[in-house]
Amino acid sequence: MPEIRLQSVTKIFGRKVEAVKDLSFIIEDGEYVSLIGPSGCGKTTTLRLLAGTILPTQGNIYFDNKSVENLSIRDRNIGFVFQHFAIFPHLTVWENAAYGPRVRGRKNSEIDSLVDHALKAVQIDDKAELYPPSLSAPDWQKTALARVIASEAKILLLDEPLGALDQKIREEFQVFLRNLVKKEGLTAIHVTHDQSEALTISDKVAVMNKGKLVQLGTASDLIFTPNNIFTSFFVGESDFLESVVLNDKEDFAEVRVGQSTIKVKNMGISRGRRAVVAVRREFFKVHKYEDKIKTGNFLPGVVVRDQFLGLLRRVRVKLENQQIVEVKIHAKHPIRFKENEKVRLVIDPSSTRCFEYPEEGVASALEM
Amino acid sequence: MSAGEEKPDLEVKFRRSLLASEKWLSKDTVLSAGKAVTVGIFILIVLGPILYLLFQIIVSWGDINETVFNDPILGNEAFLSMLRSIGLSFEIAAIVTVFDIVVGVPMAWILARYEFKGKSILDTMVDLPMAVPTSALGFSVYLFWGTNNGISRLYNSQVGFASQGTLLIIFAHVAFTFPYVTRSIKGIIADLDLNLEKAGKTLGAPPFTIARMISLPMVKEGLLAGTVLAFTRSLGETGATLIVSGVYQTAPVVIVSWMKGLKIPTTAFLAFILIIISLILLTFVRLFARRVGLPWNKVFPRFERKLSSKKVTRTRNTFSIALFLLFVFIPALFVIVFLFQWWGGSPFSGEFEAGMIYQVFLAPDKKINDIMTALVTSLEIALIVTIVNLLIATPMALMISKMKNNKVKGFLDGLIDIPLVIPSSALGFSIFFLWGSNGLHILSPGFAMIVIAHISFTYSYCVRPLIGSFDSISTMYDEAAAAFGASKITAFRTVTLPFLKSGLIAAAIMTFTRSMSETGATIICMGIERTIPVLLVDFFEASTFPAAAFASTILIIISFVMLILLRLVTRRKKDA
Amino acid sequence: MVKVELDDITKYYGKRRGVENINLSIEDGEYLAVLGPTGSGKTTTMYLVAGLLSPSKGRILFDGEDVTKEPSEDRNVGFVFEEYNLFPRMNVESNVLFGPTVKNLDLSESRQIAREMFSLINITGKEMNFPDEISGGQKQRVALARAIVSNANLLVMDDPLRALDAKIREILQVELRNLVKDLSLTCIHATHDTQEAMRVADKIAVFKDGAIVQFGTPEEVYNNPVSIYVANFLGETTEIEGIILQENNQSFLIAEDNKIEIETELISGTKAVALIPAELVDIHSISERGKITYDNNIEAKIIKTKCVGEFYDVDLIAFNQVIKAKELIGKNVPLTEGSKVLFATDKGDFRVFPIEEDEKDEKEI
Repeated sequence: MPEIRLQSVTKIFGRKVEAVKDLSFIIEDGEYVSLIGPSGCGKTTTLRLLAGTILPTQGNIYFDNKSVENLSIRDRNIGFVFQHFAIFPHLTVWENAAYGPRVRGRKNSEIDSLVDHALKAVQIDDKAELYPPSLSAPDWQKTALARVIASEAKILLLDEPLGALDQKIREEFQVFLRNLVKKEGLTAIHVTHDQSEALTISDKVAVMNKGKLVQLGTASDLIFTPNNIFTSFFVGESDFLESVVLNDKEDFAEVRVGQSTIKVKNMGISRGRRAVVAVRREFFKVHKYEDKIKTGNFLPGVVVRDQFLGLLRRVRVKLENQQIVEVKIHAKHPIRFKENEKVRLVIDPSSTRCFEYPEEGVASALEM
Repeated sequence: MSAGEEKPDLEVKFRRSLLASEKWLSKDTVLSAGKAVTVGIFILIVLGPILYLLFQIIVSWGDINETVFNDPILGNEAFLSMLRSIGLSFEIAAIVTVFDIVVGVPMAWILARYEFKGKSILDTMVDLPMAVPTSALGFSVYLFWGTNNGISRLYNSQVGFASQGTLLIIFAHVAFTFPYVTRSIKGIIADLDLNLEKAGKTLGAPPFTIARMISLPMVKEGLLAGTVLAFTRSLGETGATLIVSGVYQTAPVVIVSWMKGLKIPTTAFLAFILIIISLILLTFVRLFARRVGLPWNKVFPRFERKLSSKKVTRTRNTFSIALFLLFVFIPALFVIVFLFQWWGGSPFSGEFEAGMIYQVFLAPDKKINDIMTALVTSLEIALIVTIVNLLIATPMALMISKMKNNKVKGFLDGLIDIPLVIPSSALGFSIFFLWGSNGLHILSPGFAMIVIAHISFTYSYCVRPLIGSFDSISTMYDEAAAAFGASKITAFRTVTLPFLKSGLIAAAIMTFTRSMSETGATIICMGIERTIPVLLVDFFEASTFPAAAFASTILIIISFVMLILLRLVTRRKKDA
Repeated sequence: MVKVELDDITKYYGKRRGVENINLSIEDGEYLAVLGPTGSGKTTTMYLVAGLLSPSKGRILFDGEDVTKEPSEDRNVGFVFEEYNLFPRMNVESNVLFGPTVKNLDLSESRQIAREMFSLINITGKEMNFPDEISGGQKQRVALARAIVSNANLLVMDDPLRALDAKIREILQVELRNLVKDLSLTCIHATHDTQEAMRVADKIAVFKDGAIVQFGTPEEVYNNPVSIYVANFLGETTEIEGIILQENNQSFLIAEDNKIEIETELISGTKAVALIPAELVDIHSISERGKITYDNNIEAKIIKTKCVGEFYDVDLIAFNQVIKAKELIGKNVPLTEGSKVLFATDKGDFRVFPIEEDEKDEKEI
């Protein structure tokens, strides 16, 4: 059961397309890790580098501290599951599962027991003799998984494995997949474009953008304590307030946003520096301007629109500095805000994040 | 497994040794050697003769200079007649190609876009002339346009509509080149994303404007490829031309007749020129096809709107089909009508001895013997050629399909097309030149040399569809197989090959049909054994028309069966 | 800039029904979302409006004028497709100028409008790129520009954001609405995504099997779904079956010995199902009993919690049934699995429908 380590891996396609840049991270033995990010962020390239279908331009990959530089895809002992299944249509489910041990020259009795175990593990043993064209998409993916398990691979690489399934089945399959991986003791790396799938299924999630690793952490790390501006932007929704740090001594730093001063989480940015305060849209509280509120930690603004969406309401507010921010509130929030109504946006300092102002500007830092 | 280690049984032993040998074959060094052999065979069979011809032209330039340009008696008459024949060939090819485009493009559109009863019949009708041996086709066209049995009956004339010569050559060439343009764009048109046209519509463009500005640029390459194919086929055709040309000789016919007169140096020079011209055309298309622009961004709204009207469209479609029937389909199959006319005797005099039955089955020199012998020879050659070509073309196709370096890939891919564009008589001549007494001196004209010549010019017909099949197999299957530890050759055997079945059959049929129908190269490379298309030419020259019609009809039936088989195979592939 | 009316439109493909008896009226400058699952007739409706299909029956009117017989190229409808359908052999600028070119509009003027559009939709600098060189989001922006620059006064979009990643989709929803409103275009936008429909539109038409089952503002539709189908399509719900009890001017649903206060006109003894949308289930700690002012406070146990970004998805057990709840992550409530909590709802949160026996039989078949 292997630990996977990437060390400064860079992959350049052609002369200058940098698909992956200086990527380093560790996936522990038995861990389920998802890779997410906008399309073209390098997540699929990373998976292919691990599989060995492409080789890094620079840097190294280690399985259990052994470099796999010279190991071809055949010798890495990995299982690869594709969005479009790649099961062999001319072989039965049983024969598909037997493919790995067969081409590795295993004895028939061993093949039988490996395949039987695999088919039972994915609950497709009742369809062993059927050919793929007569089965449905979820069964195809089960067959693909059985094939991996029978091959005794210890690393499972999943490329959008649920991408071709219907939404309802996807959700069931997420649970099924995670349980299977844990029961078989595999290390899994799962590429997906679906955030909620990644947050649900994995132990850790790696956020990537423009070929770089942005953050690797648990679901709750990414949602509640993102350590950079892109994660705050990409996972869920946040607004970004440009500010200047006034006081960096307390647990909560004081920053100036427009004309107002508010307290935010102190994340070590020194006094006088420019900062970006990230506030998740669920974490703002919006009050009528004239309401009495206990805290002074607020920004004044004017309502642009209070939009009812059933699931929730979104209140768009224009701050004094003309920035428009959005607040998500409960659909049954007692107050309906009218256009141009003056409001205060109350901010709980402990729910904020405060990042160094990016050199290239906020918009460029968020470019996907 | 408590009862001790069980001994692996025979099946497992066999599997293990198979896997081990496949693993050995998959080693990079072995694979590289395999690739080298593949390219080597290609060079030996296809490029070798051409290069040798080129080499000889340079080495023995003195000889050629003397015979071609400075003959003591004729001066440069040989060169002048070469130029005349090439000029004639070009003129004919150009006219024929224009017809093919003007009628073929709307025809492709009809076949790709309309649903109507009998569509698949029309589709088969369009493809048929490509499968029928050109000598049979030429004969049929001659009967229809050139004799008093055909079209002239309609206006009660005693002579044919056209006598042997340029016009008749054009008619014959139109008949067999027609499918190339239609075929090469029909599939592309059918695969065009209709949504793009819908987008164009909502933006305010009438159908004709959409076809011109959106669809046409996307079929451009296919159209150009089909045009070049039609052009070069016309330029290089021998069998039909021999029948309809009379004294007006095109370049490939000149090659054949000079060859019969054993004028080796002049023949070599003419073959060389034809090859060079074809290569230039091929290179031009491969390098510039994408860049050739259709520069009309100007729109003539009123005019194009008129062209888009239902009336104009319907008229255009009717004309295309009518012209196809008159100039391609009916002349191509007229020989069957002729056969029935002359079945039991002359339709004019009623004389039994002039009829087919007598000539073929009853006369002292009954032709059925010749026909059967030639047919067997043809089938043997075609079969051998098909098997050999599958063996040598599959690795080549796989190699090209998998190649990562785009420049090398493009280059190799271009080389593959060479036998497709150069006149088969010129290619046949260069094979005769290399393998025969003027070169390696390994073979003398005869069965073996015909086989080699046929392998050479059918090579593209075999490799092309196979490259297509390999390209259509997703690389993820290979990756999946590799991830489970399958060596490259094991993956090929267990995963790729099952996908390839229909592709292989299609390639085999194409190769077989093409070999069956060749005339020019066969005449040059043959000894005493005649193939059936050559026999046909001989029958024609001996004026035993009813026997020729009988042989032609057999050939047409064989081609038709092949075509139907090909359709079944490719259709099943689409369903899967 | 145009009022659109569909007057009893029916379209059959051979024997298969595309849409039947569609009556719709979209006011000048209004943004209509056509909401429904795949196969509900959305695309057919979009194609009919644009003239890419002609109806089997009925009329289509633009500003009161019958355009049913007008071919697509004469309707001046800007159409945005799900798969963008940019012309692959033309660069971004030529794509956008295709409409003006074939309509013989003043090209220099159109070029000026196109330039303004490019900066408005944030693709300045990509004008010379070909479609395969830009991202999906950019492609759809170009397609939008192309539709608008061709002088369209009605914008028809067929699930325009479906092929895009969630993040881009969310950004483009806001951009789309703003753009349409800034240019005061009339707009019809088909989508399968309820949140998208709610987010962009002034009015929503819910489609099912080729017919409109409900029409209204997002809030009207959400608060008063006409059927179980619509209620379920609008979001995740839990169905609670029981019997109606009318008592002292109050209505209740009796389910497993629990009395849940609801709002309904149904008479006592009627078998009914009450749907509760997951987001309207509020979770409070047991200690808050008495301090909160809900109509129903029922004790429940949390059996599963997962956080998928903006919401916690919580499964509760109450009266032998799993109840689905969604809580915005900003709210401070204990959501640990296994803990006892209050499942709090108001009577107006339930959407109540009678259970008709034969209907139930049908379901079982």
